[in-house]
Amino acid sequence: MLLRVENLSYTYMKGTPFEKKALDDVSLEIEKGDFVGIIGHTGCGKSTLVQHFNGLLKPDSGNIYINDQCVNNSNIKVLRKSVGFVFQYPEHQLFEATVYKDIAFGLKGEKLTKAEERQRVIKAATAVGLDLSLLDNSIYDLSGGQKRRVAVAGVIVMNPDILVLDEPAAGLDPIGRDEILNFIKNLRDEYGITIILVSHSMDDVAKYTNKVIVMNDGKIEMIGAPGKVFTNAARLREIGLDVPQITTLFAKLSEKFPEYNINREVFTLEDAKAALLKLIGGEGK
Amino acid sequence: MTISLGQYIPTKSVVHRADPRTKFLAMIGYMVAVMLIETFIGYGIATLFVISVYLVAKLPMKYVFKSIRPVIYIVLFTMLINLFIHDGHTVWFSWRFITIYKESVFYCIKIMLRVILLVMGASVLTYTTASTSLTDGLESLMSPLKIIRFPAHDIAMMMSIALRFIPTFADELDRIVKAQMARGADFDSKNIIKKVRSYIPVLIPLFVSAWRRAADLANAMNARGYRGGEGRTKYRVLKFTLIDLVMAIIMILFISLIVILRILL
Repeated sequence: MLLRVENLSYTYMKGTPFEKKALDDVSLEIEKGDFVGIIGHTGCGKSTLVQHFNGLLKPDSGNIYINDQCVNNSNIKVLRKSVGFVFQYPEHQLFEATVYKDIAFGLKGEKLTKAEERQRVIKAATAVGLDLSLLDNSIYDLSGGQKRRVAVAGVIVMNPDILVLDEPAAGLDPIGRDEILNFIKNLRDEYGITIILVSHSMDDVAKYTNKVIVMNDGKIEMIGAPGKVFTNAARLREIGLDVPQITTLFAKLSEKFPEYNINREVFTLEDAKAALLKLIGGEGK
Repeated sequence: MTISLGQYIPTKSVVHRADPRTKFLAMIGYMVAVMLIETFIGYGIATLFVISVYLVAKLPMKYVFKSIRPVIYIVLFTMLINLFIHDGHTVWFSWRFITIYKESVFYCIKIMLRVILLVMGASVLTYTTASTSLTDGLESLMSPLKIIRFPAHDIAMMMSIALRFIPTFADELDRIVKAQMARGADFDSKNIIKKVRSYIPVLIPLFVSAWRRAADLANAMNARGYRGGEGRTKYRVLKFTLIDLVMAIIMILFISLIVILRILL
């Protein structure tokens, strides 16, 4: 098991009047090669949960295992390297003079030769689809989408086994959003990095993930394949979430035209295409 | 990470409702009075006074200690220094070159009481006044200085913006530190030069973000027609009420009492 969380609880500002229980007895498992989506409305504890995955927050109770090793104070620095973490608006943490230096920042502690370092940086830049001619530019000359790629490259240059991304597409236009999610998918497919994606967008989660964790009020509400989770639309709406728009559309269609037996389990555009083709093509084709 | 500053405690007492200008002037009056105190009787009266203010303001007593905590080391340090360098007549303790006089012990205790009373009193102002009304009050108090072209409104505006952004930057700092840690930054180095250098990846993004926020805020203010203090009206108009009158009378009585004590004893 790549990542295992057991009975994790965490309270913010313990012992003050502002005390707030953010996580309450959370347990979950993530396997190698998973593309996990974590969804939940604002303040449900999803960011708190993922910050435990590489030891940025320390649990009040419960344990976290990475590659079957329990995370504790003595091994936290080693284990942190196997979990890459991309925060919201990661471009805000860039600071070096050039793109190259910023991507290479995390490698400082590894005592690599210049050539090895260059190789790692180029590999990371290629993985996020960054134009290599930009490497010597100042980071402040880049566009928003490019900066975000640089920030992600600065994390995956450490060769993590798991990459956690907190709302990686926030604030981008639809094209930038698709580009970023596609290269994240590519990181899993080609580089074998396990992805944990924190997102507000049900459409993105349905399109890219193979496992969805729904959080509500510090607890795990549902966990399973997107197809399984999104069939429970009523409960999702109850906790302030929704199903993908295309699912809502097909649910309405099937209500309006019950005679056509429209499939309600449509979560992505591809599902929709298949369902529609089946309808116009007639049965059996 | 939480930084509490200007720690306003909304307990809705009469002190909270008083005009911030009255409270500000009362605080200055109180401070002058405390500086005038020479005798232990005077300190006793001032202590009783400030404790009763805490009670009237419905502030929990633990906040008395909370207000003193940040200055406790400075107080202890000044006490120690004064204990050895202050001169007196009656020797209480002598060992080699160290001589401690009875007078210097008393003097130190008085200094300690004075600092503690000052901090306790000043804290009442921040505990009972929201930062917005505090800056409103200051602006109003400074406005006579406009005659000599003193930019009272601008200074008040800058103060309230600065106060408003402290929690924002505290959050931002927390996030940047975490983000850099997640990509391999090491803040635990023992070597002092390395330690200072390790904060560069935090300070630069914080600075850039401060510039960005400042530019955004300036644009937003412009877009809403902000043109400085000229002809600007206020949502909350400060008013001198009965509470303020009573407060002023109490303050005058307290200060006179202290002055009379100082003259008589």
